[in-house]
Amino acid sequence: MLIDPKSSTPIFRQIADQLRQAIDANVYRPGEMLPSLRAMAVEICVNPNTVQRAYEALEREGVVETRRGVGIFVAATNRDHLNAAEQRLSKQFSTAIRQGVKARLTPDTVRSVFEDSLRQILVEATK
Amino acid sequence: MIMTTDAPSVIELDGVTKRYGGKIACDAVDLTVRQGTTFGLLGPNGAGKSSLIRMLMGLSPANSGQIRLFGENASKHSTALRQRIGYVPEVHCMYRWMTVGEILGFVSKLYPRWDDDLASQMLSTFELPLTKKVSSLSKGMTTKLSLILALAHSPDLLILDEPTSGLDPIFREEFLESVLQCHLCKGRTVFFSSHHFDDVERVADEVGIFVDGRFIARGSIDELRSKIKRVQIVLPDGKLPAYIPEQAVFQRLSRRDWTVTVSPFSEDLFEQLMSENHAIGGNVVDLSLEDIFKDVIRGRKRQLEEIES
Repeated sequence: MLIDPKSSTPIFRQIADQLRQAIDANVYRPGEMLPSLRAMAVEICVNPNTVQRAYEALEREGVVETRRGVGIFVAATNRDHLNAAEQRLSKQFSTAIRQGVKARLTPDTVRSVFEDSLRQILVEATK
Repeated sequence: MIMTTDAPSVIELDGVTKRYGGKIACDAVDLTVRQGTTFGLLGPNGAGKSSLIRMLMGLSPANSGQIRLFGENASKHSTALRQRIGYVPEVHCMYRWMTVGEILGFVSKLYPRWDDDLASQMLSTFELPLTKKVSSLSKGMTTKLSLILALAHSPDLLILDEPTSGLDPIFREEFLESVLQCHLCKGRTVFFSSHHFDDVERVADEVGIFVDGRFIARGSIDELRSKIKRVQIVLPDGKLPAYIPEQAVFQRLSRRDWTVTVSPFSEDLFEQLMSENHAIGGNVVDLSLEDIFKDVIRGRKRQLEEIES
């Protein structure tokens, strides 16, 4: 895990995002236990309270679950991956679109920027 | 390990003032640090950080105000209080003619709570040879020995004065890892000053920016980040900023690009900046702790220059 303290993304967010990616990539499989707060804190050299916030965020997002007195586990397989991916995508788009709107782009420009990049990525994928 | 606002306070400063001749090092400072919190003290050189820490350690008395540690008057710094505090000073004062083993043996006798296992575990992590003379240790090694001496008696409060300055990145990481493993992960309290923003962002729950003997910004890193933001405005051709809000902390103009750091930030303020300056574009930038620090310090400098001129 790579933490960038200089980034404007809060450290707990960086940890949560990277853990989720690791879970999506099957580094940690559903039902498996994640490293304890303290082990994780020492390993990546951040305050244990920050790691706790990352775990709490993932729990709210349904990615992990806490079993009291035992540890933190990757949520069981019933998690709808596609649905979760869609929600994340929607969140990322909202951020991007909000920036566009703030920069006074017209809705049509926003739409065409989106269409263009989607088209470009699909073309790249078929190559 | 979980911080709550009702955790008992470990450090309490109440209107603490310290003067050296005409120069004020601490100007009626109030501060509460609760149990389990890691407080990072940030400030430019000469801001009064070390004075503050020396007062906490009972090494120099305050001119006025009250300092309490664990509810006890700190100016007395009783033996019982000393047992609960570990201190790594900026400049290490150790018996340089002793070997590492001798100094550990000597200091261990002063503390009933001394943990031999922890000391030997840290010695082997740091690869410190017992037979080496303190005077022959490098700066990094001396700092690590100082940390062992500060942590091996299992203190409830660890006070560090610029602990990682002048250390290379690997030394710094090993140092922080030990603080995390041996102290922070046990729910204990840390108060440290630093110039390394990376370190502060990694381990601090709360930070305070200390300038000219005062805190000019204080809170959790997230609080500071949501409060202090930079707004970038693109001005119409040939126009200067027409509306500079009182929340402006620091600003810079380069052709049409006007950036202004504001505290406190709000979406309404952003809208107002956009409309009243007839902006042709604009956005809000989240800042890192280092950028917040720089803008706040520069802004203050400029303010003082304006008052003087």
